[in-house]
Amino acid sequence: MTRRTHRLVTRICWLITLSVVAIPFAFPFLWMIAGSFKNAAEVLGSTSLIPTTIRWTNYVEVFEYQPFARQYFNSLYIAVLVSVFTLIISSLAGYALARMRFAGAGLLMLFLISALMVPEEVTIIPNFFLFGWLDLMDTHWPLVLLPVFGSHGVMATFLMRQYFLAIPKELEEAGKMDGLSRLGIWWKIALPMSRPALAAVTIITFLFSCVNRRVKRDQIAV
Amino acid sequence: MISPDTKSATARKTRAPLLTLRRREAMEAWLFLSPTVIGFVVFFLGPLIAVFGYSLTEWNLLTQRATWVGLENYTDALGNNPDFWPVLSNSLIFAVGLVPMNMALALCLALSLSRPAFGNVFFRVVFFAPVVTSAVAWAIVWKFLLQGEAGAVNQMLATVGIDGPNWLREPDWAMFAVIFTRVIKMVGLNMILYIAALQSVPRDYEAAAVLEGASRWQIFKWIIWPLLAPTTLVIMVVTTIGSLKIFDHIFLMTGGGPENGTLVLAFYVYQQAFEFFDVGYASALAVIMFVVILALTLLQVALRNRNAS
Amino acid sequence: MKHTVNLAALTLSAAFILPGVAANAQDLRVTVWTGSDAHLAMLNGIADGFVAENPGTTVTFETIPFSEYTRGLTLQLAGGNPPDVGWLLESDAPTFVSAGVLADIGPALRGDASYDYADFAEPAMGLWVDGEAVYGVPFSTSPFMLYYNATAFAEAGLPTPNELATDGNWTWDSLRSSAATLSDGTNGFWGFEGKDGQGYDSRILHAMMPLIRAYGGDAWTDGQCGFTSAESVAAMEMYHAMIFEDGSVVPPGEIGDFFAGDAAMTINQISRVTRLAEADFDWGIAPLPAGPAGQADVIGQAALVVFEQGENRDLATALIAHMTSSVGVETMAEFFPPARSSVLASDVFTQGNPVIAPEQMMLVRAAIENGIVLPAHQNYPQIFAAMRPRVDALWQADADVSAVMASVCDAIAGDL
Repeated sequence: MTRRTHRLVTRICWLITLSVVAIPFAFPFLWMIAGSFKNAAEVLGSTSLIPTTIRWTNYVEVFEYQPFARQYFNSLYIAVLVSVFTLIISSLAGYALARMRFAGAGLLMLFLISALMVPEEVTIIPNFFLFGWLDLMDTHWPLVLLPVFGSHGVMATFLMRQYFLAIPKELEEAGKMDGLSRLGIWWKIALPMSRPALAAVTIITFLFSCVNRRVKRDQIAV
Repeated sequence: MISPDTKSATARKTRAPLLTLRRREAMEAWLFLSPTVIGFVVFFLGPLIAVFGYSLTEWNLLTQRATWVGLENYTDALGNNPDFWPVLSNSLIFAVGLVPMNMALALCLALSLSRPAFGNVFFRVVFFAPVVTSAVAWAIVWKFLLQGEAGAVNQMLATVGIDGPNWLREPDWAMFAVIFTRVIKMVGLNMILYIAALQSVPRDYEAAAVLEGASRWQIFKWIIWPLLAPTTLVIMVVTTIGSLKIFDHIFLMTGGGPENGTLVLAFYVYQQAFEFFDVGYASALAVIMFVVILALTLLQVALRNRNAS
Repeated sequence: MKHTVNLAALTLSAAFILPGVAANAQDLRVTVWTGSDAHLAMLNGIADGFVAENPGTTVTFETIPFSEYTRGLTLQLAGGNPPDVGWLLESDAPTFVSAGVLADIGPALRGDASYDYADFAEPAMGLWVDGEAVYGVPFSTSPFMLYYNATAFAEAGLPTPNELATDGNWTWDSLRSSAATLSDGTNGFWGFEGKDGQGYDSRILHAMMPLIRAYGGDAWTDGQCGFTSAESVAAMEMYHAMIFEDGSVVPPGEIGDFFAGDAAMTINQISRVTRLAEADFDWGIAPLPAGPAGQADVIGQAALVVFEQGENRDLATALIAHMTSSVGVETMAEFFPPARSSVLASDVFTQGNPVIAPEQMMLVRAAIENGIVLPAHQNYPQIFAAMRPRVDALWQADADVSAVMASVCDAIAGDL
């Protein structure tokens, strides 16, 4: 067997193994897609991936039975807001923690990390009353503010800090010599250089905001 | 006699300026940090203190009547309540079951998929997809697939001659099922983190080791694994914390059963607060939960620091 | 730079859209747990009549799913965002009444002569009155009935439950043998399904009570746990045998929906009849089977209540009065059997149901007149939460029924 064939065979074996491992990951999706075309009896009855009859009306009914488009749009625009706010706040904070020296920095980071350790259940009741007292119960504010300042925001801050630490200091010093203020350095130099980190934060925040249900359920109490 | 004018004049010259560079830097830093700090205090620190306050009362959510009881909630939980310790052990079992499985699988997948090769990107997407699926959808589908007789899992097992148990209805299997489905859902995230770390390992180290005749296993053990140590620590801590906080997944899949076999701390807190309306007791439980998580985290970090040095 | 300024402007303006629109003082919000189109259409129709009589008001029905209803309602009350009116289940009645969150609507209802408060049967009002105070008006006094798949019975050549009942042979034993004959586990068709498929989960009490009462036992009486009595144990042993020996009941964790045609019989209330709209089989409603202790009908109740915290209590009380007036009750009778004796006795009740035959509606009426409401208790949430994990042990093939029932009583004794 030539070396090339050997590599090809190895690769194919790898791909087969990966496919087998991927079954529990992918099967639920395939099943959901197949199920979206089945009627009620079949969904609950059979477990085959191929529906016996294709029922396109399921997709129509989704929009009829509930304001699905509206809910989808809500999830989307809330995710956008959360991402934007998180980006701004975490990049500001991350920069300060990375580049500026001040008393209490270490302690502050410790406090922020501890926010990751606290489960949502601990803070949900006081937050619930807080929003009630602020008369923001039935609004979307809790859905935006809590993720931004919660554990995802903290993770984003540390991610940004990590990235800012790696940016060469010379560039910033050049900016300072050109007369930029701190904010200017942050805006014109540090941020543009940290695009990969910003992208990562945006993607993660956006995705997790879309699928985060529980905060919605309890805060809106609908 | 020294006139007052000359004295003040000299004093003005030698006194330091009010805004030193250091102070100005500190002020700027706090300005940058102000949104984060304010948000932290309002939405986290304040509530945490409030919860601690609640835990010292007996407060009914429905009637809104509260009475001061001191540490009674804590002694109840730790001493008198027979339900608490099984719940705590359920949480620990879940964590101990999930974390190694998750991390080992993540590492294996990352090692397989970190190099550019045909199909790797596709599989990365496949393994990551469950992470961004809604927990509700994931739980519903798996609950259905794990049915005792008609479920796809048992039907597939039957084709190879295995008689699968009623996964979600038998106390021991239910815990395993819950852990397994959660691992599948979240391992993609750790896999991505490991891939990022693996891709930043300089290839010269590996090339040099290969030249010296090291085996794949030796390369892994002596070069790659140590270089992954910081990532491993972060992943371990975050995954452990996440597994101790788990709620949604269990709520949706088993509702805490069967026979409270999968009733974990977060669920127990929720039950006390929102089904029994006993906010005081729930708050005490939440504080205990926080202490447990904090202790375990510090333990992990300390152990890792000791190993490293 | 321009990009980001635009984005910032967009974000800020979005931030101003976020706060909700302030509510009008004359808006009434009613929380319900039904999401059924048919139910909501009917409720909105009744509300339209109210709005016509009281111009300038609006009535909105808000659905909170049944499994989260009590919690969602409590959160709304605790969060300072109370609804004006709400549905309340009989099991929550003692808790909410003793918590003082319900407004006393007695004076308003009694004072209105056209309302005819006396028309409400006293047994029906039992859970909702406390001395002279009236905290809710039951709008649904719905007995548990036996639904059966007539097509399946015909194909198997078995006498239907109604035929057996007329002969006086409709007992739990005959239900058991019919279920065993009709059951075909390999094809996913079972003889019997627990209520709403939740017989092992959120509705275990609903599944157990018809059996236990038919055998002469009860859940609890006067603070004493009744699950360990010989009658209760016998009842549950029979059910256990049906599940694990006969294999005729939809097993735990499986789905065998009667309304989708996957089970031959189920016990449920008549409001579920909306789910038979698309059924491709013939169906019927029969009385509950009798047990060794005779015929024991079980009734589930739901009432309309006014919340003390609401801002429009008087208007809310007027809405309840409108909804539970004779006219309102007659309209609702299609799905929600009335507590008004006059309506119950009327022909409108038996003849007026578009889907259920008059003879079967008369069975419903008989069940209401003779039935006893489901068990309720002030500590119901704790009792149910303590019961449920213990009852889980019953759903194993090798369960020791009397031991399990004893553990149930041990668990709930403190809360009774």
